[in-house]
Amino acid sequence: MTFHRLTWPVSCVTLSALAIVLVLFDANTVVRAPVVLTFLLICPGLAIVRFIGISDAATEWSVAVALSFSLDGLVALIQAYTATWNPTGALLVLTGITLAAIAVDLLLHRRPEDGEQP
Amino acid sequence: METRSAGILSRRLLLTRQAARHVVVGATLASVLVALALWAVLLEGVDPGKSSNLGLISALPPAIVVPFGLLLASFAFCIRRMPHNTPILVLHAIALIVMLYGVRGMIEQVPAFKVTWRHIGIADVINRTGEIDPTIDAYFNWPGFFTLFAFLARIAGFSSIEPFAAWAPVFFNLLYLAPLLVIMRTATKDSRVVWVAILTFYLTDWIGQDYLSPQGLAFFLHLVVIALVLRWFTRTDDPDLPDASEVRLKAMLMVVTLVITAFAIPSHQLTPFATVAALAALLLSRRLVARGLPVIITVMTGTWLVLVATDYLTGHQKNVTGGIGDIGGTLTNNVEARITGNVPRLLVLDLRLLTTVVVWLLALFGAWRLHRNRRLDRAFAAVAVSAFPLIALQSYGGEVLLRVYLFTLPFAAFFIASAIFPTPASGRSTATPFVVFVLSVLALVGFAITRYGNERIDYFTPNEVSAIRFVYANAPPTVSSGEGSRRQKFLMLAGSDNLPWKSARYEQCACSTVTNLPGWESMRLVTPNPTPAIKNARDLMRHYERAGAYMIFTRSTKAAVDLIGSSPKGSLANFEVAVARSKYFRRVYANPDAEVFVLSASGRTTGT
Repeated sequence: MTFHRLTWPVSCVTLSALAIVLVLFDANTVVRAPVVLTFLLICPGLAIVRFIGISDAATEWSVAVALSFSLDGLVALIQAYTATWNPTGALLVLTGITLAAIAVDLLLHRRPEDGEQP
Repeated sequence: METRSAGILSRRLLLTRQAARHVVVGATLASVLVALALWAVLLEGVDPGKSSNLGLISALPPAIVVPFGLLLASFAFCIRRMPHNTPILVLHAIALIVMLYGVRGMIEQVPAFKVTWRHIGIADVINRTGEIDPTIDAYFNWPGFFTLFAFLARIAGFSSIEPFAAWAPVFFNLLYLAPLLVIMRTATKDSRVVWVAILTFYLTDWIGQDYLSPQGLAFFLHLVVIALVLRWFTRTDDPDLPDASEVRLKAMLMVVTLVITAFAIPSHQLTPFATVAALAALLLSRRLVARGLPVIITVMTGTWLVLVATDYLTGHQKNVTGGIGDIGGTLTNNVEARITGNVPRLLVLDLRLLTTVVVWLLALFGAWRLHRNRRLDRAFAAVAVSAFPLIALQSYGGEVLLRVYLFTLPFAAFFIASAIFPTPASGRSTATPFVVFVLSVLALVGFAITRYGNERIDYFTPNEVSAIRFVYANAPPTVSSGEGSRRQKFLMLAGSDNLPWKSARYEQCACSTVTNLPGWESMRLVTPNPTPAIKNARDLMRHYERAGAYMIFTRSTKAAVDLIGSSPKGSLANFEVAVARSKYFRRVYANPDAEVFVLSASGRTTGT
């Protein structure tokens, strides 16, 4: 597994952990908005798109951001329509989706390391 | 010996060429950075309040043409010399987006455009109540965008979505860039066409639907769906483009497309119809592989209308279906009814109409040139015109023509670029970059006037926002009217509807305008008489007295009346003076840009 291949999964996991810490501790710092928004607007979609395996960068980023917006919005809409509005809960759901997609991607696309039998 | 010398010479030549290439790339990068820095420096201290009726262009320093000229010259040069250097060209595009769409973010202290403030208020309701009440108004029947941004604001630690507003146009236009690239690249392999089309799109998108709005986000989702479909779900003769033959990949991309559409549908009324129209055009041109996709999206849209947006449809059936087939009425609403105002404003409006017509005509010319060279992709042309039938559905509050322009613009931009480069062999002369540069500068001048021509009424001052916040802070909490659980709203009676209101307590405020009072007609007479409107205002405020009633005048309410010309110039300012002198009203708040009045003791008690 190359560094390049792990870059985005590691970044998304780190961002999700930071976002959860900042929100759960209600941190009123300047980094909260950039971290949380970067995670929510990129990571859920990117985790799924990398799992799909689109080769073209422009398509990959378009779909990653559009899918992130859509997943964020759909989770928030479901909460609002079912009178269970809870932004922190929505963040946890989206983190779960992101981590699940990353895990499935890593498991399904795991390549044999040097010396390991395929 | 000779061979060795020749080898050294060719190596030196290669090194010189490489060095020259590095110098050229470095120079273009420097141009972009210098242009951005100059732009930022020149905008410092610009006061949008000094805009004339011609718009923001009148308040900008003349030297602002320098950074734009530098960037456009560099862009044209790069398109000619290094059309395949995507990072450099993307950098130019990003700089252009920031410079074209970030002007307001740089110079305005509070977000512009009255509708932005309304959207802030709608998201506030959702964040405050945690629910969606579809009986409030149409926005709560398509609440996707507002719910999303309410969630994003809360989780980012903001009290409202206002912090997102100032730079929303830059943000949305940056989002559009990647799907636009995908769309253009499905249509041509000629990178020059791709980048001239991108340049054209951003220089001619004057309609300003990219503020913090549902349509701004929905257009991005629409572009992504169209990009996905064009790239993965259409039959193509191009061996470089994937035909989605891999079943797993195709299935997953279909799910992704449907998830994106599933969010676009509850976010904006019109956009899903444009998506369906584009897919239908591909289906009719026999290029769509996923033939069921338009049907599925139509069913999803219909399901939302019938099952969720019922409250809106029940009360507004005439609005939804009344305009079907009435193309003449729609065009009147969209063109004639909108072209009103004084001479400079008419110039701005005429230029907007002219830009629209010229863009479509140039696109037609480009399509013709492609056709003549047997390179016209009919499916792409079909998608380009697919939004026009929306005009026959309804006038969309007099805005459908604007929206159709936006939906057609990416494809029109492609055909305009193709007019310059109809074949890979064309446009190779050294004059071509100059042509691209001159056309870009012309488009830029048009953009500056058409895009920012309403600046006098679009921008707001912090003082105006403070006055409105005073009302929200002081209006009593909504009170029970004694009829079960119904609560009476408080009244905000504004000079006209152009002010940053509805940004809080959205569902608790009855908003009305002085210019809609029946007695306002007397202000349009040759000898204006404010008395009938003053009496109307007093009676209306008395009706709301228990819940709270406020009359507000701001700089922007008066500017809108003067600029749009719905009443004689100065009529609202004169009316404000009459209100201040009237015994019925008492001033409770004032700053240089706004005044707020309530009923005086005399106004509360005097008979009719």
